[in-house]
Amino acid sequence: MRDSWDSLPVLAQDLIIAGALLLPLLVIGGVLMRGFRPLPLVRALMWRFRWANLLFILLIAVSTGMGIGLIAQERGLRIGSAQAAEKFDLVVTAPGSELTMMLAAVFLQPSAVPLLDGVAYDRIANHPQVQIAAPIAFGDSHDGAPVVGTITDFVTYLSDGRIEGRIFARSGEAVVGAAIDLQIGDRFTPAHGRGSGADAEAHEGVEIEVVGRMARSGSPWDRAILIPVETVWEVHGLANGHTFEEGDRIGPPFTPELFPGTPAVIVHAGELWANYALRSEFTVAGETMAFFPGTVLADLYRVMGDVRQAMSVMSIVTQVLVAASVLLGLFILTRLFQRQLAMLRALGAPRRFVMAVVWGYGVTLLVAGTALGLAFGYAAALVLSRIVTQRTDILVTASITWAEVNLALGFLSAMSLLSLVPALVVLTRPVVENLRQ
Amino acid sequence: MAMPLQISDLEVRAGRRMLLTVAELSAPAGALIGIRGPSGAGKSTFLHALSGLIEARGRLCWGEVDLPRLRPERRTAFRARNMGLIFQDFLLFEELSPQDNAGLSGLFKPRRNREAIGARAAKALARLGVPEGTRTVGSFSGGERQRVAIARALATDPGLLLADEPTASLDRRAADALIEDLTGLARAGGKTLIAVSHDTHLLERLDRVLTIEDGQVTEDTGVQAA
Amino acid sequence: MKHLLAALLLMTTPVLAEEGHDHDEPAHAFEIGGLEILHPWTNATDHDHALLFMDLHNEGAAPVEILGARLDSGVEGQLVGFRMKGGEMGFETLPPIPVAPGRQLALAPDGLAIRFDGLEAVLEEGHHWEVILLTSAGELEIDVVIEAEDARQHGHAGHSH
Repeated sequence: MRDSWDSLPVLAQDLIIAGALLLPLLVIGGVLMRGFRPLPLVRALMWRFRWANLLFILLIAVSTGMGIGLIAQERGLRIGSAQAAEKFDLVVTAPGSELTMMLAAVFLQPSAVPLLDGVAYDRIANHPQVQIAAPIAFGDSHDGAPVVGTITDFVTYLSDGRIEGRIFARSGEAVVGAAIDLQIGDRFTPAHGRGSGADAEAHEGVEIEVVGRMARSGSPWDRAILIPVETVWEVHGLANGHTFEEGDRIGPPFTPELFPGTPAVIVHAGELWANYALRSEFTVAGETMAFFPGTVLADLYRVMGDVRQAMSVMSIVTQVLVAASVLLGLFILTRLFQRQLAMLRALGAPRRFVMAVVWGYGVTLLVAGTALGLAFGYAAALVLSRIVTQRTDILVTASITWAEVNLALGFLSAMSLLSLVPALVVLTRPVVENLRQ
Repeated sequence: MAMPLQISDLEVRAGRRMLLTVAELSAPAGALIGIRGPSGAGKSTFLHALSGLIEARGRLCWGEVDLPRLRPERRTAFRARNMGLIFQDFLLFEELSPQDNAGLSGLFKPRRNREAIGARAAKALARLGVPEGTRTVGSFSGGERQRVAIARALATDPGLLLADEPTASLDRRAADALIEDLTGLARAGGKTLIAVSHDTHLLERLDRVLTIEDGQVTEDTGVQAA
Repeated sequence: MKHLLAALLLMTTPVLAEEGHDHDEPAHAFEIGGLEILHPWTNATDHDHALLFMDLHNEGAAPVEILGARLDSGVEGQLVGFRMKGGEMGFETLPPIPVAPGRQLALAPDGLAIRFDGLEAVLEEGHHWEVILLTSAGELEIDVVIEAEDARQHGHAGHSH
């Protein structure tokens, strides 16, 4: 049983779950409405109490949409940030907070971090399992965008080789991210620091030429300017990692004694398993710290998961309150048309027909509210995603998955069961009493 | 199909209080009977007992069917098949068209009857001179509304028509026109009509009038005539 | 002893405190072919799957490959690595991992682990669990400490309690 379930495609599983959730609704609907045509009367009630109905529908929609929007947004942010970090298998930095280091090296958030020296870099770069050991030197900016010093291998790896123009070939050239407002051939002078504290004059006289543009990656690196790490060192008046005899050559290997230091080294191993061995090896007390950004994110998501659960509980509480008020509303509204329902009974309508009318009316409100709620949730997630993407450059895509749809369907189904209560209550009062009212 | 009425030892109670007793009463199929009496005397209770809407003891036979002995759902089914009810304040769905209101029973009757109900509703509406068109009955006058209600009662082609103060919400002219139509249709269709009313114009046009006071039939013009 | 402590210091990340490892040394360290196995532990669970963690240090002269592990009952444990893919956390099966002479390898949550599926008995906190570690240098029975269900490191790391 379990095996055959697991062997089904995910979509089939979702559809089956959705069907199972809707089953109570369909069964009740089928049993109540079989052979009857209650819809004209449901329509009449919808029109008669249109303002109250609209209010109920909006109430259901907002409460459903809130829950769905939150869940969808949380997932979008989680997937977006994980994808933005996907290229960063292993990060080696000086010991400190993994979170701070990850935000600085992977998400390019400005922060002052200690440096790794040439010996440490050399040890990493020369490890047999290491394919790319990219120094990441940040701290400068242009027009708010971080200017990051690194090596060509890393630029190729980061962009999957999708570069318009060419990669930098000598100090003083730059490859820009897709979201940078500079054209190939443009020249700029980097400012020292980032944000409001950036000093535009510090590097006066330095001119960097844009020679290439990376394709969009959906990560903060879309808004970064990549230059040879040597250039970063040079504009700060430091050694550039190479001896005088090497001339203008850029990139590894570097001479450890002439290596001014780098805040972080992004490591890419030849094989997947090697990353785990490298993490153990590059974690050296008091010297270096190695971590998987994926693991740091996982810790973060666990916290986010707790917050999400708390929010889910709140949104469920909201939903239950809304459900209660909708039920109460149904009670009140059914009182208002109790005489007409009694008239139906007097004309000879079976109980089941009267129930079908009242239940159908309630379920129409619920279905309309839930459908609108899904739309609301999607719209909310869309707007939130735009804002987050704009502020962080982490590409957050809003999407409504079957999980949300099924959540909404579950709510709908449970409420449709509860809607039987007002329908039953209508029938408990004697017809004659209701006729006399 | 109209059916003869046969009542003996009928009692309707509300808890311990006796609301109505009818020792003996009979009427042939197709009779037009009025019920009058002061407010609260038990007229409506009698009508509800006749339609099987309330519990009663004793015998109340429409043809072969002893209504008090049927279970509530069977009484409802009997009502749906054999009775047309007309109320003082019409009880129409304001949002629906006259045609839909008149054909209301079609919504819960078996599919095979729906067409016939719709056709009879349309015919009755035309015969009663209700304006055609798709507008809702919300804009109708009282007289027009009660005509729609009568068409609704006739749509299932019942043998029995039970009316509770059918003219009380209408002005004199509209009431007189309605009386003409109601009695005319009942006679033409050979239907039994039982109407609770204060309206002497209506009562005058009926075959027989019962007076109910304090839950008892105190006067029966039919008996004198017999 | 002194050597071991030093090795341990190398392995632990700076956030972990450095004291308090000596008192349980005899029970918590194992050795095969020069490969030291320190603090094997797992989380208590009533599911049928578990992750096995430990610190490894190759003290010998030859590389040793970690192949996996098995139980007496025959249930096999596989080397897996934690991966974040498309925002979903998961594990990927890994080939044998060599530990070169003088190098160390940490099996820890959200990193490397040996995963068991289809366990027959529940793992209770405070109890011990007999596992046979499979390496290129041979098989070794180790005694695994069962930590709390939500423990993120073995009980003697950091002394955060």
